[in-house]
Amino acid sequence: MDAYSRFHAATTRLREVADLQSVTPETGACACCGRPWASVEDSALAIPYVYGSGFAKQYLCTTCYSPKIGSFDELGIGSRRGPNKIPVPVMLGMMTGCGAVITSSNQLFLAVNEGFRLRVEDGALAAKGRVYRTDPLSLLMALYSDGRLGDPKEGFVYISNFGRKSLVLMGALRMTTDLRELWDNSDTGASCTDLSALLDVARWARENDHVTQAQKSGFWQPITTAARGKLDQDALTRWLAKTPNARELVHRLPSDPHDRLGLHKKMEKILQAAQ
Amino acid sequence: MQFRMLLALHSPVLLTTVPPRLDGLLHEAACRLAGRWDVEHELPLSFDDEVQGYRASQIIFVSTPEAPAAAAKIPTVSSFDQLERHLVSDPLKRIDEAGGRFLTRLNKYPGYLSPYLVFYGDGDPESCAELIELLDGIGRGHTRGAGSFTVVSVEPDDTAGWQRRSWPGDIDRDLPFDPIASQERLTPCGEVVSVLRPGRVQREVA
Ligand SMILES: [Zn+2]
Repeated sequence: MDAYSRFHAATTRLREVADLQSVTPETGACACCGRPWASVEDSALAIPYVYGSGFAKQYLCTTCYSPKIGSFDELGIGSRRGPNKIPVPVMLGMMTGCGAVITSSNQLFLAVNEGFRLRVEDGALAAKGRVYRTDPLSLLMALYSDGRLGDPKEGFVYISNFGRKSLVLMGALRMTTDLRELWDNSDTGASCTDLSALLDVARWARENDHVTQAQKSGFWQPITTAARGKLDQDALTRWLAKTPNARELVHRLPSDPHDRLGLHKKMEKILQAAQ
Repeated sequence: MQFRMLLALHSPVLLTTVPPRLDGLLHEAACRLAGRWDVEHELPLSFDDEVQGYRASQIIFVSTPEAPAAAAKIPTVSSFDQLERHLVSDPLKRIDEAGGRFLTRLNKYPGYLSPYLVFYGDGDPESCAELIELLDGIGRGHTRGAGSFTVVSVEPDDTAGWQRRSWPGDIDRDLPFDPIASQERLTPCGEVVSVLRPGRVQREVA
């Protein structure tokens, strides 16, 4: 299974209750994921979609369209519009600041912020205990440590932010099969993170009594400055001298400079999730 | 002959999902040289039966004591379909990455900037250098200036650096890197198969 088939399986309920008006597409492939119609999950079915006035008509596969499906039953009431307070259902594609994990058994778990917690708490997904008031990385860590994620090798999908641009999210959806290459899907596209190295760094922090320091941006300054392209050799030398087991820590640091930016925030999520 | 090809990097590289490899880049260059993209071209690299592909390494970022490998954010249009046509067609209209109606359709993609790049290979070093110079750049967005480079040197090398590439997933031997399981092609035109390869961001200090 790939990321799309997992996402499709995890969102089946949304499509079932939505009564989608699908058509036979006039194009060769989905305008979002670019897959030919023969290879999408609901083979040869397309949803016509117009981005806004003045834009060309596009055809999306049912998987890419799923974040645009509002569902009172599954996700709850998002907002009330107009003087008559007409309720509008929540859709995954508008859950800015919220993320999700799709496990290797295709179960959808949501990590929501306080604003969305109140909106989705009446939905069926929350009733099943699949909605958590936490950040997406903490949710992933929790599912990983209690085994609900399944074997990472089987593949899971991690979404760090649904954001507003669901077409960008769905256009590059990637599955993770190795914690050293965690594909972080969001509405700004997919990026790759070495979660395994970050867990190693967290372990270093616990072993060397640096749990508090590791969550402060100041502690990582020489490392993050270098990751931004400015090398301060003197500061780095001083840092290496005062940090316990510095060699081991440097060895454990992720090699991707993007992973070295904002290390304190990543440590905060990992160290607090593990407690 | 085993060689080490050093490239000076002039703009950040946007890594593709599968990190670029020397044989893939040379194949694209060979397509350009021949003006044909529909056939498989022969490359000036040695073929290795065990690896089931050419002896050609993955991209490696080279830092110097003065300049580290750095993270760079590259704003790129996420989808041209979603730009209003009159805005794209007006050549005087600048795509503003700071704000306005373009901002919502731009994404900041992770780029990598280091002083040099290196590729290891086994084959005819001079032909490889000539071929790779036909490319505008390496990685995504190379037609828009990302990953532009010039060849600095190609020198003999006996460290078997070409082994830093994807290997068949069922290989039974020690690999000179910490392997990550992935699905990739072992040759530029081959089938996608299970492979073991080094991490995406390989680094070296000059
Ligand atoms: Zn699609």
